[in-house]
Amino acid sequence: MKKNHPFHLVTNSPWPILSSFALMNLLISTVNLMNKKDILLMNLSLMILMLNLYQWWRDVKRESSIKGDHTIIVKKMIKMGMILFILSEVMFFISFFWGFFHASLAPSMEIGLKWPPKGINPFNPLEIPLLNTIVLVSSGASITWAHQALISKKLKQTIESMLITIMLGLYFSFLQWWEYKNSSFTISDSIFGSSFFLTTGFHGIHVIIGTMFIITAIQSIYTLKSNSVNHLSLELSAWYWHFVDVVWLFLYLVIYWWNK
Amino acid sequence: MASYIVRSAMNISRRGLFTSAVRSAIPEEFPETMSVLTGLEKKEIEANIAGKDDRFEVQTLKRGDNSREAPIAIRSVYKSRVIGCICTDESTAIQWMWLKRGAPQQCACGHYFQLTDAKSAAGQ
Amino acid sequence: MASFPRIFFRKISSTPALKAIDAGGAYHQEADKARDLWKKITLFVAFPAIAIASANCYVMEISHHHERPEFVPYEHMRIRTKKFFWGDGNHTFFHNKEVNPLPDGYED
Repeated sequence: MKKNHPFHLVTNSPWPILSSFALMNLLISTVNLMNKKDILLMNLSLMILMLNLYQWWRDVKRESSIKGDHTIIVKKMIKMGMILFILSEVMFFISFFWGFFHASLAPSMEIGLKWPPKGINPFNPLEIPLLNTIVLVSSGASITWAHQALISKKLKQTIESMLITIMLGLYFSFLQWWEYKNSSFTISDSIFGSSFFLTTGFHGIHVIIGTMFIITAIQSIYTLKSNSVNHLSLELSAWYWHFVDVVWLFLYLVIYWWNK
Repeated sequence: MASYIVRSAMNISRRGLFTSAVRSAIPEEFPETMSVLTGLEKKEIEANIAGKDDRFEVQTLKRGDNSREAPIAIRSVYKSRVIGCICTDESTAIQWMWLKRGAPQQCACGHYFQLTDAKSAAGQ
Repeated sequence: MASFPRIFFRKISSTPALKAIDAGGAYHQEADKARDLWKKITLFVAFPAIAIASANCYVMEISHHHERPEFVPYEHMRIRTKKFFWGDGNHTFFHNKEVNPLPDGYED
């Protein structure tokens, strides 16, 4: 194939169709879990999905590092894709905030015409939530350090600072788990508990996904598949991490602090 | 058998957190960037360093004087290429056309274009 | 107005290929400086802040005595329109029997 253009015309790949089927299986088996209390099928399709995604991204990584297919315009398009994805995630969280404001700005009669509802004892925002905020903002600093270390070609520092970021992410997840475990209200305690655990729970899942994203970026850097001009794995994981960070700031302001 | 299993378990456990037979410690610096790049990406960056920003000629060209004898050269490795002519400075629409290999072709507004050979950047 | 998309697209291609290659040049020094700055921020601002906030949490946690409120069977609390699909279907996922009552009161 002759070519004299910078675009990357991808070759045939089994992963799109296979992961579509894996996703369909995951959906059906999750419904099965909820109705029949049988988790086996869901675990199986989750595993199949993971294997699919692993191999798909491995192929993309090889296209970029071994084949050198990621020219400037291809990188630009991948970045556009990530921007659109993050934008859709922003909309996803906006819907939860919308639901929260809908319930809290004019509390209904059923919850005692007050917010927080009668019988609910919210968290003190100056304890673990404040620590969580500081941990996430700090991890934003350490991932910027990683990015700058990568651009200035310091391999060891890049990996160290990314490990720090992952540690902070895990610390955040641990603190959130501890907070959930010791919470005086649960997800089935009025609209307050429902919207609180829905929003913070989805945010927690995003923190865990972001941590995994950074781990894959470390793997790509450690195996020298990233370099000072081709390091989308780190850059996009940093974008995602900052997005998670910003969502938390809004969560802290609205759901933890203003709520009190 | 049991001793073999114990021995290989011991060997694996000695390898440390990041298992790699080749590199044991993480080096301080990345390898030189140009030495790890390949393919189109490398060609593009080499052209950038040599001072040529538009290696693949996909950006807008400034249209110079042209005639049937001296048409504007458009390079391609294929038999044809889609081009768009912004006929006048005030045009709000782009005049798209297929440029075929062979004699010079004219846009509706009168400018001449001709498809010429380009060296393939990838493949044969 | 028409140039806005162009500016936007130029901004997001933030990997200046030429500059990042240029090892000894000005860009490299710039990145060195930025790296050192963020390293210092991480080590000397972020870490102490985390330590102080952690200590604050710990102190506040052990200082005030937790007293769980009296159980009142409000209608908007402890809603069970459908069984959970884990356990006996009556305990929430992060159930803690010390602080979370079931619909008919605390377990102990």
